[in-house]
Amino acid sequence: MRIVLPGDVVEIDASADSIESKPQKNDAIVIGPGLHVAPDSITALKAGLLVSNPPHHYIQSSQRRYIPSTSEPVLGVVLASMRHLEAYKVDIGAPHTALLNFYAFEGATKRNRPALEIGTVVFARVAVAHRDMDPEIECVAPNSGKAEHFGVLKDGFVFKVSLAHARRLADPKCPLLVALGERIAFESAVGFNGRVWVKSGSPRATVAIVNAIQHWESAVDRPREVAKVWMNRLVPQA
Amino acid sequence: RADGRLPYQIRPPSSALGVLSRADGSARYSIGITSVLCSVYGPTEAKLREEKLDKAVVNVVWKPDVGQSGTRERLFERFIREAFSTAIMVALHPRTSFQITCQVMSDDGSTLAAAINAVSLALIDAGAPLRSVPGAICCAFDEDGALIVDPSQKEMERAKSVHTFAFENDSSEILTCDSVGIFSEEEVCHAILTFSITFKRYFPKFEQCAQVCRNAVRTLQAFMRTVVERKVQKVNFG
Repeated sequence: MRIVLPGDVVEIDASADSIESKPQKNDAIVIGPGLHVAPDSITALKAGLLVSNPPHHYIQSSQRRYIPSTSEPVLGVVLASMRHLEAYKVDIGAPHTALLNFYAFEGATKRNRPALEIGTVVFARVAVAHRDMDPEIECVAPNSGKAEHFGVLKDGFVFKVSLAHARRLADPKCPLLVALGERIAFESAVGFNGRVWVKSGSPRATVAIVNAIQHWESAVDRPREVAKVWMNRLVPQA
Repeated sequence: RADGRLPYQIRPPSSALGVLSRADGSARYSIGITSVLCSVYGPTEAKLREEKLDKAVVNVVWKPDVGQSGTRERLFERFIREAFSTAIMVALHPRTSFQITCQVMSDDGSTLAAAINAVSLALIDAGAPLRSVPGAICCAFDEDGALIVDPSQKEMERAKSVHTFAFENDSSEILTCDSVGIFSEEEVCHAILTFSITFKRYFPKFEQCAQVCRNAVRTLQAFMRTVVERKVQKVNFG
């Protein structure tokens, strides 16, 4: 694994063992984020770690600005209701505001649909993301039409982290959240757009959890220690 | 030279990435006393009157260390805008804009070159897709016609002509060039637009100047690479 800068040409060993004349589907090389396929070479577009787990090759980097990509879960804030588009305008931290269809909720019909106010926090998945179009999000899972964990988030606290940190937190086995969960009960939603929502029993607890999450970014290899420090500050309650 | 440097010796560079907490990307680049702080916001939604349907727009604001900004600053802004409209892969983010702000912290000559390096590092910090990392250097022909690299403010005032070159990191091609002063090859302004083999043959003195700068900028680009590598290493991707 090496660190690359934009413009660096990346050498990808194009399947040294595929001697068969018929190209199989498994021989395909998957070029991921941060790499650009030029006619005669593959170059890096961003600075970061070049990760090669054949057939996947991509650049692991961190930035603060989110570029939407299909099927990623995101946290958005409703900005306006556009009746003529039959959709809400939602801010997801991307270059363009996203559209959330009025009926993109489980069991929504013309007569019975959730009315979202300005400032409502939603947890949704990106349905359409293309560089030439405004992104569209939905609060239902694509195949089942059920809400699963998407929908409106009430109360709680929303804060921002870098994109790489959000990806760490979104891991179902995230060590920090597991360690915090052993000490205190809370709910959290992590958007791949770098926004995190936390809700717990009291404001003090929420603040402690938020601080633990933010401080974990500077001590990634010690999640249990970070959790312990912040949970210890919480224990002496009046 | 007045400060004891050899003709081709550059002042020690130093820089820091991610110095501003709210910007998408930021960097401070110093060469000797000259120091420029750069912030990048992008890609963000472009204003309707300036948006382009197929690419991103690059806006630059140059803030001098002393005094109000005037036409000289507009020239620097245009210079940086045109250099980075090529370096940033603007086709990846249509209808958006990159907002770049350069604040001169202290000026002791070679400010434009320092600013270009600061903008490159800030764009890397922001995760903007770049074709290459532009590295810039300033040089001058002093009163005796000798070539000196990285002139200080005093040296620039006494010089016959001052040239700033920016190079791409992969091909070492000149990305952009700015020349001020009385220079023996007057047609250089016209030839700069098409930097070709013919140009190199007919303007040997200019090419000598460019060659020396190319070598100097290689050391600067190696320095920028170590800066970015150190930053990426600090981010533990877990």
